[in-house]
Parts: sequence; C-alpha cells; structure tokens
Amino acid sequence: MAQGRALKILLVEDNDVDVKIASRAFAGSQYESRLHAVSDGEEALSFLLRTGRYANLDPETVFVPDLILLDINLPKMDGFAVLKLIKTDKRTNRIPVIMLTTSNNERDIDESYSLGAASYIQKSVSFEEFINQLNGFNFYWRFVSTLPGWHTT
Amino acid sequence: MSVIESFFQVQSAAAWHEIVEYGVSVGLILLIVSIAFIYNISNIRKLRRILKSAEGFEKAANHNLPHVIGFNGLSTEIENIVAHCKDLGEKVALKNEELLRDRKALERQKREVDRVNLELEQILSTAAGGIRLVDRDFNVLLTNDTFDGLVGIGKDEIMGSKCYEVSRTSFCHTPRCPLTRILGGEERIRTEIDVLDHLDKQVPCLMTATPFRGFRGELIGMIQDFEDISELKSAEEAAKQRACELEKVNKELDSFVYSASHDLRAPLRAISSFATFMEEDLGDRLDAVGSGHLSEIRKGVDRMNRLIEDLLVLSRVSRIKNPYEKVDMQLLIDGIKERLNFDIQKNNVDFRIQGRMPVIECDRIKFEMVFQNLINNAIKFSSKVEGRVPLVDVGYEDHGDSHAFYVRDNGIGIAKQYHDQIFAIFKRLHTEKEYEGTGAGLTIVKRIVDDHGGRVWVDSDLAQGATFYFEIPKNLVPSAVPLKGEAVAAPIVH
Repeated sequence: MAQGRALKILLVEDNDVDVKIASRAFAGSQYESRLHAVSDGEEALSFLLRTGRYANLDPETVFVPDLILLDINLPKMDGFAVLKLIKTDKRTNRIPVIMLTTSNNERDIDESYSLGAASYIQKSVSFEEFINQLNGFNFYWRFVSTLPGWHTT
Repeated sequence: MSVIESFFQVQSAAAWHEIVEYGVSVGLILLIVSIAFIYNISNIRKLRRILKSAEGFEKAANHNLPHVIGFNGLSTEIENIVAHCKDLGEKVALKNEELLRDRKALERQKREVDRVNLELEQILSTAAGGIRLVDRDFNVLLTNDTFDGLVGIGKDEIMGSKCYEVSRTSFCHTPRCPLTRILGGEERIRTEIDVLDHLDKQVPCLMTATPFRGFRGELIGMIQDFEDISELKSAEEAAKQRACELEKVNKELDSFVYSASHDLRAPLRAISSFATFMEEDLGDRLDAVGSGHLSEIRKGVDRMNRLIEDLLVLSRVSRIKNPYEKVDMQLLIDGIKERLNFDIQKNNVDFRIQGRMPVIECDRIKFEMVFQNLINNAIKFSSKVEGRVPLVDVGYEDHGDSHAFYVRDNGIGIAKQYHDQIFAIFKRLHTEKEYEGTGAGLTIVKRIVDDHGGRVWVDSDLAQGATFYFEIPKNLVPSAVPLKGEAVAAPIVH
C-alpha cells in the first residue's frame, strides 16, 4: 500500500489495439503499474479464481489485481455478465471494477453502476483524453488505498 | 085483405101504441146518439189531433224536431212527452256522438299502438346489437333477430327457454350473472362477456344490461344488449401484435445502430491513437510537415467520430419516444445554460431569457436536445463577430393553439437563400476552420420538432444575426409506447 507499489491491473479487452492503447497509457503514467490483459470473460474469471490454465501458477504471475478494467463489448460473455459474476463472488467482489465503454450511452452507464461498477471510462478516439480519465482514477486509487481499512489482499 | 092489412088492422090499436113506443125509443136513442155525437165532435177533433201528434211522434222519432203540436190539456201532455222525447233524442244523439268519438279515439289509439309496435319491431330487428329480454325467473321473453343470429338458434327454440339453457354466456351460474346482479339492485352493467353459440363457440361481446320494469315501476326482469366484438377483438390482437413487432424491430435497429457505431469507432481509435504514438515515438525524427500530417490524421478521425455520434443521435431521435412529463422550461433552459457555461464565459456571451417560460407536458429529453443545439449554435455564431458583445436571447410566445420559442443571436446571420438548406443533414455554410460543427444540429432540431407536429424556421439575413423559431401544438399527445430504458441522453452536438 506504499506510494511506490505498482498498481496491479487486470484488463479484460478483446480488441488488441485497445489493449495496446491501455498498456501504453499505463506505461506512460508517472505511477508504476503491472497490467495483465485477457481477451474474454471466461479467461478473466479463470485468472481471478486461479482456475483452468491459471491454476498452480505462482502468485507473482497470477496476481490479485488492485483494479479491473472491463470492456462492455466482449465476445461470448458480455461485460455486464462478467461484472455481475465478479461482484457476486465473495472472493472477487472487493476489487474495484471500471467499465470501458465506447459511447456515453445512458443505458450502459446506468447498468454499470447498478451492477456495482466503481466507475466508467469512455474509450475515446483521442489518446490524450483516455489518459486523462485513467489518471483521474489512478490518482483516486492512490489516495483511497492509503486510507486505513482499505483491503488489497 | 093481405097479411099486411090484417097486420095493420089487428095491430092498429095496439100498433099505434107500439109505434109510439118504438118511435119514442128510437127517438130517445137518436137523441142520445146525437147528443153523444155532438159531444164527441170535439173529441173527434181531438182524435184528429191525437192522430196528428202521433204523426208528430213519428217525425220526432225520425229527428224531425221540433214539432210542436199544441192543443189544450192533452196538448200540454203531448208537449211534455214530445219535449221529453226531444230531450231523449238529443241525449241519444249526444251519446252517439260521444260513442262515435270514443270509437274514433280507440281506433286512433289502436293505429298508434300498431304503429309503435311496427316501429319497435323494425328497431329491434335492425338493431346492431342482439337484444334479449329475460324475466326474474330466467325465462327468455323476447329476442331480436340479431340475437338469434348471434347464437345461431331459431326464435321458437329460444323463446320461453331459460336464458342459461339455450343462449348461455360465460357468466351463467356465476356471481357475475347479470340477472342476479340486476335483481340485486344494480342499475346498469356494462362488461365484456362471451356468448356461447349453438356450436358452443365463444363469441366475445360487449354487453349492456339494464333492469326491465313494469307499469308500477316494479322489477320484472332484465334487458340485455349484446354487441359482437369478435372483429374488434381480433383487430385488437392484430394491433397488439404489430406493436410488439414494431418494438422488436425498433430494438433490433437500435441494437444494430449501437453495434455499428461501436464497430465503426474501434478502427478510428486505432488510427488516432497510433498517430499520437507516432508523434510521441518519432517526434524527433519528424519535421513540422510530418507533424502536420499526423495532426490532420487525428483531426480527420475526430470529425469522423463526431459524424458517427450525430448519426447515432439522429437515428434514435425519431424512434425513441420518452415518456411525457411536466417540464418547467425555465429550469430546462437554466440547466442548458449551466452545461454550456464554459463556452458562455469563454466568449463573454450576454445570455438572457426573455419573459416567462411555460410549464409544458412533453418529452423533456427531446426538448433539451432542441434547445441545446439552438443555443449552442447561437453562442458559436455570435461569438466570432469582431467588436460586438455576443448576445443570445431565449424567449417564449403564446401563439394561441401552439407554444412558440425562439433563440436569437447577433452573429453573422444567414442569407435568405440558405434558409431551407441549413436544416439538411451535414449541410454547412462554413468550413470547419471558420466554425466547427458537423451540420447535424439543425437536422436533429427539425426532426424532433417535426415529430411533435410542429415547425421550425429562421428569421435572418447576412450580418443581421439570426432568430430561430419553433412552434409546438399545445395539445401534444404522447405517441407509441416508449421503449423502456432507452432514454437518449442529450449530447452536445457541435
């Protein structure tokens, strides 16, 4: 929980351009971070619960993320379904989830919040804007995580 | 001497005695007779008169009144009798007249009854509804042809039968039985009910039942009117199905547009982001020209993104009907002013709301979009004029059967020949360099106003500023059932 510790992020995103963008955004941030990207909900849960191909791997590789960035438009299981599963499983529901959306569609926003997402970020066309949004949350997390009682196991 | 001579000789003495006796008797008799005769002459006259009066009676009897026969004593009697007879005759005549009138009246009444019966007969038979009259004991007293046709049973079979036997309904023997309810005191029942026809098929009907009363107002039974609504019901079903289909299509279209926009944007992100990465990574190897190109690439992508956004908005504007609510226009415009506050402050715009804004029951989100687009345009176009304080006025006018709003600016104005063009999609009168924007704002405004049955127009001239008016009819009726959860957020459209 020290200022110096790297922010561990699980990115659930099927579009590899968007993965590159997110990686680069975090890499360029003044705060250190470790990012692991998965391309669908099944893999995400597998990673979080250390099952399937993530079973029996060392905790450094399969870390418990401080933050989950979850794209709404995923193949097979859509983002909301994954969000629901994460938030209803005791083992994972403490991890804050930020939804990635492509538009400011009210429906998506409402749905995200009602299922327990912490916030949402619009995958903007402009890279700068994307960074601004991420930094905002980055800063917020850095602050909140120093508060007593904040769990990050 | 003859017998006669001898008769006379013998008889002579005695004869003269006898002759005298005879003569005296005859004479006496004659005397009596003549006295009687003389006495009766007057009576003969009377007799004559009696005869005359008898004639008079006859005449009187034959209505040849008056016929006064006057003679003393007897005449008075006869007078009285005649008078009485006259009287009687008059009374009889009067009575006759009365009887005649009565008979005529009765005939008239009978004709009237016949006429009313005929009317009733025709009304009943041409009535669109099936009519049935039932008494307290469930006996069917009367039905019209339509009812017979409805149940497909002959009148002779229905008449006199129990209403729950031959012409049953879905409410028979239940607490909803209309007769039971009418007998229980209800005055009028109107309900949907199924009538079972002779094939036991259910015919959906709209039934009205009212009490049937006698002359003293006592409850005799019930009158029912059955309106066959099977066509209405199937039309209703069809309409419901169509509405369902429409909603499905709308949802599909919406989903399609959403996916399309999502899929169209992913490559845009790639283009823009990698242009940025190029700038960042190769910045030192790129000269101003190279940087310029990258910048243009990013601008192009931005523009494309905005066009997609506008198309998304435009496509949803007509399809999605938000539920109507009471909207205080003052608050709505205040909200927009706040949202555009940055631009207002930056350009030092004098923003005013003229007069009192009404409270209207309407689609709040759509109206927000209209005002936001118009006000945004007004700010944009009034802010670039040199040496003038940009002025934006928003006002309301009551146009009788419609509400009218206007947004006025003191910007560069619009030449008259372009007044229609500006509402077309993506049609712009300026380059991006001069004024940014996609040209979809006014299209969206026009689409929304048109959808509400109103109209939008502009009053402007080059260098004369511009006033955009839009009129909405007052009796706004919310149209089709809105798609749930599909409220369109009001984006700022440039």
